[in-house]
Amino acid sequence: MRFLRTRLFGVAAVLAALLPLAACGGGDDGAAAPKDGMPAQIRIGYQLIPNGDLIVKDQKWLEQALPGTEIKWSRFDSGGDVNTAMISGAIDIGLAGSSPVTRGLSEPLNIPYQVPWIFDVIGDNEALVVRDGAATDVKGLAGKRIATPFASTSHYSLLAALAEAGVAESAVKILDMEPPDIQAAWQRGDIDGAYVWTPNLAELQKNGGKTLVTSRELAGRGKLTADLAVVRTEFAQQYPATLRVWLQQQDRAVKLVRSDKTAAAAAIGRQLNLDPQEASRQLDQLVLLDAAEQRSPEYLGTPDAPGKLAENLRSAAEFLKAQGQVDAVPELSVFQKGLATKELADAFPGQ
Amino acid sequence: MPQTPASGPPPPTPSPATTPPDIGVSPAPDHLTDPGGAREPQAATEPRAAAQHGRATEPRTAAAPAEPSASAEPGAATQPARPDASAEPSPSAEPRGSGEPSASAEPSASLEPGAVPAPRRRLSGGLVRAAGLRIGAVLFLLVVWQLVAAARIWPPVFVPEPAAVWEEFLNTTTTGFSDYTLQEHLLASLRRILLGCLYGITGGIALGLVIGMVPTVRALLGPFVTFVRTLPPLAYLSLLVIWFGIDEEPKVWLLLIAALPPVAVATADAVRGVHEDYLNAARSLGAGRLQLPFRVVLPSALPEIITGVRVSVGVAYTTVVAAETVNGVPGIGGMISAAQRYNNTDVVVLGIIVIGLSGLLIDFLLQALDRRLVPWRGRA
Repeated sequence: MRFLRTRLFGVAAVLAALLPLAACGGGDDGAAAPKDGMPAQIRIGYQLIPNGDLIVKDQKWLEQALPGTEIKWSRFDSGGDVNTAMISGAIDIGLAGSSPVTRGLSEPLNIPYQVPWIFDVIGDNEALVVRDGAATDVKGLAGKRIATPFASTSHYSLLAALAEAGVAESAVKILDMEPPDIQAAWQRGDIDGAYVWTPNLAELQKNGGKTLVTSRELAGRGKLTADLAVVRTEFAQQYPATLRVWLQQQDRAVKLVRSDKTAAAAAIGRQLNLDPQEASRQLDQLVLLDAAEQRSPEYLGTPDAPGKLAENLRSAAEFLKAQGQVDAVPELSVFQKGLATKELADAFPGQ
Repeated sequence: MPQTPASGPPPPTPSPATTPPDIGVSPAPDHLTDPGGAREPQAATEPRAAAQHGRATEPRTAAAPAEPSASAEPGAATQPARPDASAEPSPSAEPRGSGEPSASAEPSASLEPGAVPAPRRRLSGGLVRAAGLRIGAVLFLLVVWQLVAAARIWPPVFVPEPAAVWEEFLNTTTTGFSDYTLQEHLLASLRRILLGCLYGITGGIALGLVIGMVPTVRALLGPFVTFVRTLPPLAYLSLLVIWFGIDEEPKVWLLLIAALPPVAVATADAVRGVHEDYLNAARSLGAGRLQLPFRVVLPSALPEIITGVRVSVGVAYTTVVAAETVNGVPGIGGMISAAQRYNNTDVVVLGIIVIGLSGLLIDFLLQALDRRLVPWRGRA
């Protein structure tokens, strides 16, 4: 009997140990702070993509515009990781590609976040390249080994390109690899091609890679991919003023790219360890949108008329459903609500 | 109840007493201390142990002469297992046996027949309890898991319900995940682990032997082995990818590098710890240069080497997920990292459970091998 009692004590001890854990896991919002407007800390997840976000980071514009707030920048390598961090509430604002965001807004993830800004529309910075002689068009990829980071916008674009060319996905050996590994495998001759992004894409192109299709071309044919900002809905509701400041700084970065390309390229070059010429070249591959363009019906739109991005995300969801990457395709309204159009409109009232 | 048969009769096996003599010399030391050795193959012993329970009281009370013939059968049935268990070390133990005072062989002969089965029988009761405890612990964990999941403190993406994981298990075993079924993933990983461990352990034993026996080599390679041992596999995986590509080679190499140092270190230490008397005895009996390492040093270092092997298989197992982050499909680690990309936690949890269970199974097999190869462990 005493045996039993000690064992029960053991059970109680384990449960007692678990409970506080449970308690602190739930309502975790690290940005808990004065309720009067500005948070004590903003946790931003950024990626090394040559767009306005890196300019804002390099120029410390957020730090200057929000003096009482600590800006914590954490680097991420893929939108999937940003999704994970968003689910756990570890970041407030992040950068993720349209594919991860589509998955985030769909079942089973249902991440409570919104898209307040489009960092860039992916253009020539993501492309399908093949080794010289491996194939002359997408149709010729059957039986070839093509690498791409799974669950990324590149993966989505590759599958879209294959579908467009009528090549069965099973006919191609698609390998899941991170961009640096793709570059290594390319140099060794282990893969015939890859759908990947800069800077690794540029290396492959330098090493005899032949470009079959770019994301800019696919976007023109309706398979648009973009790098999106995501903000935790809770954060957006709690600190609308902060979010407005954040949006204004992003717009300022896009305007800087247009008015002073050299300064913008220098800033991005510093962040990416690239010389300004190369940074400028990579910057040109992306399509950046200023606030007025963001609010156009083509993209985010307005609160009354959410933009076409919602339809884009939904058609991406249909595509992902066919791939078995999401459980179900949500209604268009889910994606329309996923666009933070009101916050965008509030940030730029004059326009 | 479980204790009685242990103190009980040694007799049940005297019938096969005719066989032991041929194996009697080598395992002599173990049987001296046998009752203390409680480690026995479990699954195999249970039915037999149960059978002996029934008989246990009989030899005492009932007709002893009639019994042996009846008990000869089960006794004989166990026999095939025993000879090769103890016969295998016999060649290895030979030089030692001859070097040791022959007195130790003497009492063993008298103890041997009865002493061997005794701990097996005693264990059956303990086994039931141990099994019950384990099942209870697993059930308890499942219940806690279910409760935590059902409480929805965290979204299901964090803590999937056991039922969801089970469903994923059915899904992956039938329709598959990432174009391969769970079995294919597991098989691919096991193949890599087997190859990596095979190379790693062979190399590790050879290296350890040399390091342990030749001081110059020890000074040269010892620090290097320790250096490699402390490296995290993910740190050099990208190097291996550049050197060996993205197919099987880098994965097997990674597992090899992970598996080799533990065995090498264990072997080197064990070899250095071989009693000088054994070596001197073997030398004085005219052992040749090559006979010394293979017939004296290795056998007496075997228990520690096998511990090293178990450790290294474990290390290789923990490394397989890292090995399969690059083009790892099919492979259980590749499956996990693919699922992780899609925040498919059910599959991640499933993969972890499968890795854990298969790891347990492999370790169990290694322990069984350990008992076969080194029955004298802890008794010599």
